[in-house]
Amino acid sequence: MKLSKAQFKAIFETYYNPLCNFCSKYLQDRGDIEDVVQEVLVKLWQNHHKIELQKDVKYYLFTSVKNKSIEIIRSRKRKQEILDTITPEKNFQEPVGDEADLIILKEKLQSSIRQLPPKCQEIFVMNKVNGLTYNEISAELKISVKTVDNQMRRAFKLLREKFGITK
Amino acid sequence: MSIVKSLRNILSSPEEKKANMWMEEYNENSTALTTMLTEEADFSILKDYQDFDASAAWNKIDHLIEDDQTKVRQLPILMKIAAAGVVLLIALFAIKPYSSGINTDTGLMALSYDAKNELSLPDGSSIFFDKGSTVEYNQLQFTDERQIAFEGRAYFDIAKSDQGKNFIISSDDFDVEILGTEFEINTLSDVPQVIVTEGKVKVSKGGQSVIITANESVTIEKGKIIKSDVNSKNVASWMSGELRFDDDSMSAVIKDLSQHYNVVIDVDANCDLSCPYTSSYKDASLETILEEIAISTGGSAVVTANKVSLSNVSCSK
Repeated sequence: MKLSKAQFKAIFETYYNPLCNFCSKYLQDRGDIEDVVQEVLVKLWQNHHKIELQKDVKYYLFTSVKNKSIEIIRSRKRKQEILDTITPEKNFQEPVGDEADLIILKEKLQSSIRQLPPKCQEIFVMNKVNGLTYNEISAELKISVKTVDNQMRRAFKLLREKFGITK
Repeated sequence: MSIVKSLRNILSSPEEKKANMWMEEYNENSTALTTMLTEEADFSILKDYQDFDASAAWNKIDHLIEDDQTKVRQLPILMKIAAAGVVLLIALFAIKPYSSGINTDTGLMALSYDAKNELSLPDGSSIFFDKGSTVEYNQLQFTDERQIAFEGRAYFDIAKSDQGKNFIISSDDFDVEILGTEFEINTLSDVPQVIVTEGKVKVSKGGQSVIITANESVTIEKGKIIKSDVNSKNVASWMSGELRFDDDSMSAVIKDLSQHYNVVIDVDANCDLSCPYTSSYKDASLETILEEIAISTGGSAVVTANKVSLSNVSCSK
């Protein structure tokens, strides 16, 4: 695989957040998580000419993040002599592909939500992600239910536009 | 989609069953996501999804990412085409040295190596190339000429010629005429070098030339040929990946390391280069070795993409 710096940067930007979220399954500390993901991405750069992957770069990245995370958990376990962690070891054996696809889907949704105007985004997240009703949002933000409704319509309109569909 | 089927097997919690609904609509090759963007859509799968700062992270690692085309000289287009068939050419070569199937017009052979590799020539000579090396020769006339053009780093084991014909290697930096011998050439480093481990070699540049024998080396510094003795055991260490230091002075260690890794190591004025150092390595990274040196000498080491330096090395532990 041959990569220019620009191509690598595009990969970095596409996968950074999804990989961090994937890694958060294994590690709790945000600093640790970002260290692991950065290390894996830098390794990809350093070895890109030795690796044959082309389109499967995402599986390589997700698998590497998983392996690196497990390595860290194991080494800490040994150090602290903790026999049981929250996540049972056997879960680590599952294939990474489907999870990778799911996280990338989440990233797509999240990144489009991220592009909504701030107020619109806040209301959308409260309602659709956190499950608050229009009434609850109206009380929380001290705005009318009508405004909540308007902002939600606006949010959907903008999201649909982003995906190139008019309804 | 097969993704959906297998997801059902691994996702069982109610929270993640919602993910299935999304995945069923999701197809990487279309904008099918839009069908889910209705007022009834359930985005609760994003509840635990966090935002990390990718651009801050990029700034942190940016300096480690460099387009690595600096050292390897580009071959002209024609040679690149020939080089694409490296494996096949070598294989044919070994069986039928004069096979007419290759480069029928001129007999010109051009190989470039992106990994360590060994090449046997029809005259019984063999060359062990480091990655980033290129070699060209005329296959049809090789036995008569015994001439190759070479750039890179390689260990040459040149057979004696039956007809007393000397082997000639030309490079951008100098020409080498071999009088039957084993030696190493390095044109990749800032200081092009020939080291002889056995036999006799004549190195020429411009009008100057010098003959060197076993355990001697020639370097080209500022266009001049400089001859010196070699007493390091780490000659050609790049082939085996092994480095060994037994009570060697720090200045010798640094010289071996810069040759092994083809880098310039900056040493600050606070380093005592007479300190002895003992250790051995196999396929270690430069960073690992310098860190170990720093720890055992109370100094510090910096290895980044464009700078390698050692400072405050002292003999006290």
